[in-house]
Amino acid sequence: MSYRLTKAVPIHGCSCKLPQYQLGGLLDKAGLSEGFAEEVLAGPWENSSVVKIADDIVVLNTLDFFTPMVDEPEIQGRIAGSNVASDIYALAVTNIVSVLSIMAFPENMPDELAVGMLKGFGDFCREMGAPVVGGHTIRNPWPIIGGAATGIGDPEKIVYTRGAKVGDKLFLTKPLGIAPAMAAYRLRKEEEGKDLLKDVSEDLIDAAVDEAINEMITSNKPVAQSMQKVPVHAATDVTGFGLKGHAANMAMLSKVDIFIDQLPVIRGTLALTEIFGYPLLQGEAKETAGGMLIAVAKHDADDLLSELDKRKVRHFEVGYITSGNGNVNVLKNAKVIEA
Amino acid sequence: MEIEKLDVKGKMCPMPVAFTKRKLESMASGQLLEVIGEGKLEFDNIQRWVKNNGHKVVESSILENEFRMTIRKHQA
Repeated sequence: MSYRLTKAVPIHGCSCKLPQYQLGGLLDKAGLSEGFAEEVLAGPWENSSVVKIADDIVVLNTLDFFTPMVDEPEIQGRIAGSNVASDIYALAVTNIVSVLSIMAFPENMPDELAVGMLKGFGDFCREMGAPVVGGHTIRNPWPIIGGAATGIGDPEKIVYTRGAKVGDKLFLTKPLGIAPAMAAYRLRKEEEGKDLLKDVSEDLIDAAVDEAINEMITSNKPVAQSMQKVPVHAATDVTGFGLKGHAANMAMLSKVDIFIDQLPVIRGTLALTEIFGYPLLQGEAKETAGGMLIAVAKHDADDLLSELDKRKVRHFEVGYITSGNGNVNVLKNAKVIEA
Repeated sequence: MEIEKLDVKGKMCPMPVAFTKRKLESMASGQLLEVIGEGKLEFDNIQRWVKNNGHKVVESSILENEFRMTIRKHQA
């Protein structure tokens, strides 16, 4: 097929997410960052909004869409589904009662690609027990796929991005490096890109790309199930703001400092990062459909890891929490693990 | 000192940063490189990378169809 989804856009996946500072400024100016009713337990600062509708029921809503990461439409749809559902799972809620799809594509994009993206999105959601019940599709110069999800939970069992405590350990459930791996995926299809990649073995690029795609389409639902079993203090998924950006949210909302002393990265992405100049080792490279960053008390950490192991979820200890004012420090001598 | 030139117009992300990086690696400390490209996103990406890696943007301009950025390679 000659039409390539990734060539139709200049930025890919969560890289098209607006920077935090810019988004915050827009919401402030629009009057949408404060003044919520008391039933609103979480607003724009969280991965999903949380609204209490009865003493023991909260409704969660989230919306997430982006430009293509891959040229294979069904995989692209799955990545988008994974990213949407993850915003509900980040709050330790597994019951997604409905999903609406959002798609946009230009007139010159073949319909079969649109069908593929929708199919992959629908298949992923169905496998998660999250039915796609409607949606909206428009013409647009850039192809876009994503959706809005509604979850139902118990207000006492929600895990927020806020709540990390001094002394907590910090774990991440997927390795970093989606951006360099997927840049290699795109560039190896271009003559000039091949030249840039000439010093990295084909096998290493294959391994990095395969792993990155596998990580993106791996659901965070088992992580949410694990978090329901252990009293974790705080969690957020790691996407477009990168590890450091999402950790900064956690630190700020929890009024603590976070130290990152270990960086798990997809095998092969260190060499790719060296070529592309991504800030991977500073924890600032953008991720798409990334893992969950979880703060848990030291004495509960083993229980959490055991629940994650039970569900075959990978996990990496990445740092710790100290008293502070919302700062994140990625240590210069942080240990890098190629996973 | 002669100013090196690099045209990254029309190149897919992350090629503009990658080519800028590769070009600077082949140059001597203190030498100047003028990068010509297009798009605010690419301008920002290159500028961020330059600053994060100890080089210096000595001059830049954003016109309607292109940007020009002159970078001084960091002193060893």
